[in-house]
Amino acid sequence: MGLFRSLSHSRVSRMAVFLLGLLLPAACGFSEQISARAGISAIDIDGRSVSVVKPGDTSPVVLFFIASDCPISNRLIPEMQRVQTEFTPRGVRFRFVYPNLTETAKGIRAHLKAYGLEGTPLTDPDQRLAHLVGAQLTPEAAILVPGRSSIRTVYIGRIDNRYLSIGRERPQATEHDIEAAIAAILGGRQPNPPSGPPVGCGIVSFR
Amino acid sequence: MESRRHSIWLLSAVMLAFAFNAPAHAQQPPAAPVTYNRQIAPIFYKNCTTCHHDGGSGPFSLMNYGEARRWGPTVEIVTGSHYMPPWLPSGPHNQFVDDRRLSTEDIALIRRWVQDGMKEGNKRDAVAAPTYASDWQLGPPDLVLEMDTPVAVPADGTDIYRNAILPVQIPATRWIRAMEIKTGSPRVVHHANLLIDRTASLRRAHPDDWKAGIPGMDLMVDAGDSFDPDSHFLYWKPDSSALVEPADLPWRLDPGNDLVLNLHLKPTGKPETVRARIGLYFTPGPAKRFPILLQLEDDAALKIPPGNADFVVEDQLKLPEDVDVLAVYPHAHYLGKRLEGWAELPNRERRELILIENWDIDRQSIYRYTNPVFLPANSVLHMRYTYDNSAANPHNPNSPPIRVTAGNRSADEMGHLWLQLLPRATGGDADLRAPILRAWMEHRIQKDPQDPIANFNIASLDMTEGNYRQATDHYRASLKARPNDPRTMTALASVLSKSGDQQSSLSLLRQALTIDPEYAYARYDLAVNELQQGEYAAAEQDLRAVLAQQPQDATAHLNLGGVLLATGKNDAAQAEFETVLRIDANNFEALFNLSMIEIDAGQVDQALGNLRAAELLHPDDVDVHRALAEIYARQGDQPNALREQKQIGAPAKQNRAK
Repeated sequence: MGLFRSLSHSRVSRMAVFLLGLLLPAACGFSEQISARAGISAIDIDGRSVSVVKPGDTSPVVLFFIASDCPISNRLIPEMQRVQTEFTPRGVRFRFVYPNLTETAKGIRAHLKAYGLEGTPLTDPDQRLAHLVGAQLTPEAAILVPGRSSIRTVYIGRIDNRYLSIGRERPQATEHDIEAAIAAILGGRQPNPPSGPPVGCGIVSFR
Repeated sequence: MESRRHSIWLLSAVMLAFAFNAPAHAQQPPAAPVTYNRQIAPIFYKNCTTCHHDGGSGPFSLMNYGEARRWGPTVEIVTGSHYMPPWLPSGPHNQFVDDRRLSTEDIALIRRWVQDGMKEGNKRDAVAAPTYASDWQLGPPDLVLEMDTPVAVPADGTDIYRNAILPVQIPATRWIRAMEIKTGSPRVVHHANLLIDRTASLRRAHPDDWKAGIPGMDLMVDAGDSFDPDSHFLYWKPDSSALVEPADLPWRLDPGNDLVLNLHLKPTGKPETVRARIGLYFTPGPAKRFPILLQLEDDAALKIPPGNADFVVEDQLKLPEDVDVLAVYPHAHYLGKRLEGWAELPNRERRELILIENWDIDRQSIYRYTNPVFLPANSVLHMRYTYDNSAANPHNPNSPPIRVTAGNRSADEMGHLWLQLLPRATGGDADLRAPILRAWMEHRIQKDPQDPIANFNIASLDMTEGNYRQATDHYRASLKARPNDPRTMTALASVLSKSGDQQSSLSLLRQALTIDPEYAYARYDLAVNELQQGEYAAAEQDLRAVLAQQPQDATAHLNLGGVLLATGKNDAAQAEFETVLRIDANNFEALFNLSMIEIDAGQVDQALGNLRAAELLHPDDVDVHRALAEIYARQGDQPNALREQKQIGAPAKQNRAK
C-alpha cells in the first residue's frame, strides 16, 4: 500500500535507501496488507495483548506514534487530542502508540498524566506496528481502514504542517493533514496524502 | 627553447605533487571509527550540555553515551542544518562571547559517528563529564526577586509575550555586578529581557492587573526625572549563564524601582506555569564608567505590503564622539529576514557589527563582543533590515499575508538595532552620554518633528545645560503630541518655574494632578513650589502624600524635614533627616541640617560627628566650616576654631547647605 506514502518527500528518499541497502526486511518502509480475518493486536504498557482492529471491525482506526521525550511530538499532542475529540463521536477510534524501545511503563504513565491522554496506550516492543504502517518518526499518524478482506493503511505521515523542519516552525498550522484525511474517509472519499514530510524524532529501535 | 622550458616546469610540478602525496598515502592508516568516548563526548560537553543536561533548558540530556545514542540521528540532522547549537549571526567565530557554533570538522565527525553506528568506543578514552549547578551559579544572591503571580501557558496556541513586574524592595541604592534569571521553566521560556522601570510607570499604568503581567512584545518605560539613559542589556536566553558585568560597569537600582521581565513563552503541548526568579549580586560600587544604549530604527517606514518578500528598512546615525561598542541587540518580529548592522568610519572603512542572514525570533539574543569595537567620532552607524511578508515565509503570522506595520503585538513588526556604547573620553564632570543621546534624539526629530519622546529628551538635555528657552519649546512640542501627559506637564512646569514664570508652572502642576492625582512627581514639585512660597501647611500635606506613595524617597523626606524645621517642629524634622541618612548615608543636606538641630539641642558631640561627615563630602563648604568653628569656639578649642575660621576665608569656597 505504498500509494499514499510515495508522494511524500521523505518516503521517496527512504525508498531509495531501501533499494540501495537491500538488507532491510521487506516490511520496513512498506506497509503490509493485513488480512481482515486476522485483525491487528498490540501490547499495552503492562505487557498485555490488546486488540487494535478486531475481525469484523469496520470503523477506521487512527494510530498516533508519539514519544514521551520528543519535544515536537509533545508539541503536537493538543492537535492530536483536538482531532480525537472531533472524530471519536463519529465512530473513529484512536490509539496512542509509544514505539521507542527506550520508553518505560513508568515514563509512559507519567507522560499520559502530564498531557491528559485518553485511551489505552500501546507499546510496540518488536516495532511491528511501526513497520506495518511505515512509521519512522514521532509524531506520525496512520489511518487503518478495515475492509472486507484486508486492513489497509490509507494514510501515513504528518499530523499537520506546523513544522517545516526541526527548528522551522509556523506560528500555527495552516494545513491540518490528519484531520482532512479522516474527514475524507468519513465522507467516502480517498484521503489526500500528507502535503509535506513529517518532522520529528526518529523512532528508536534499540534499548 | 620556450616550449621546452615550459614542459620541464610542468613535469617538475607533477613530480612535486606526487612527492607530496605519496608519503601521506603510504602512512595514513585506515580511518579509525569515530567513537563516543574519543571524539563525540568532548564535542557535546563543550558545545551542547550547557543546555542539554538534566534540569537544563534543552529538551533532553546528552550527558552520557545512552543519551547521546538515543538522540544521535537527531543531533546529526540539527547540527548539519546549523539549527543547533543555536547561533544566528554569520561572521567570524568568536566575534561574540558564548559563540557555541561547531566547526565544520566537528559536524562531519558527528555525521560519521552516527553513520558508523554510534559506537561507544574504549572507556579509557572517556573524558570527565562537566557538572552543572542546580541552583544559583554564583552562589546565594544578595537579593532574590520572584514574580508575584505565575503566568499560565496553555498547552496549545501561539506564542505568548508577557511583561512580569517585580517591585524591588531595597532600603538604599544598590549597584549590581551580576544577575541570574531563573525562569523556572526554561523549556517554555524562549528568551527574556529585563528592563528597569525607574518610576514604576508600568505598574502605575496598570494598578489593578499588574500582578498578572502585562501583554506585549516591546515595552517603553519612564526613565525617571534625572539624566539616566538606559545603559545595560539585561537578558536571559536558554544557554545564558549568570550575566556578569565588567568590574567598573555595575548597574544601579534605586529604592522604588521596578524590574520588568519581558518573557517570550512558547506552548509545549501541555499546560505550564512560569514563575521566574531574579538573583542579584551587589557590589559597593558606584560605577566608574557609564555606557548608553542607542537605537537605530525606522518604524514609521515599516509599512510592508502583503506579498512583498524583500521589503527594506534602513537607518543611519553619525556618532558625535569616540566610543567602544560593547554589545548589540538586533530585533525584529516574525517577518524579519536579513538583519545587518555596520559602521562606516570617517576614513570610509567599514566595520561589521552584526549580520544575521536568516532571522528567527525564536532564537533572538543579545550579543556581547569578545573585543569591543572601537568607533571614532563621526563614524556613521548603519542598519539595514529586510522583511518577507510573503506566504512563503513560514513564520508569517498572517495567512494569507496582510499589510503589516510597526507595533507591539506579534502580528505587528519591528526593526530595531540596539547598541551598547561606552564613550571613550574621560572628561571631567560632563556626562559623556549626553552628546550621544542628543545626536540620537535630534536624528529622531529629523525623521519626525512631532516625535514626543525625542522632543521631551532634548528638552531635558537643554534644561540640564541651562537652556530654558529651548527646553520650553521642546517640552511644548512634546506636549502638543501628548496633550494629556502629566509627565510632560510636570517637566514643562519645572522649566517654567526656573524661568521665573511661577504662575504658569503652578497651573500646569495642578492640571497634571487633575489628570493623575497619584502622579508623585507633580505632587512633589507642587510641594517644593509651596515650600518656596512659604505655604508650609500645603507643602507638608503634599510631601506626606508623596511619601505615602514612595516611602523611600530621600529627597521628599529631606524637604519635609525642611518644612518641619521652618515651622519649629524640630523633633519631627530630626526624624526626617535621620530617615534620609538611613536611605542615603552620604546625603550632605541631611547631615548638615541634622547637625544644626543637634547644636540647637546642645547635642554637640553628635553635631560634630555629622559636620565632619558632611565636611568629607564637601571639604570646601563655607557653612560647614562656620558651624564647626562655632562648636570649637564653644568648647574653648581655639586652635581648631581658628583653623575653621581660616577655611571660611579661603578663596573659591562654596555654599552648598540650604
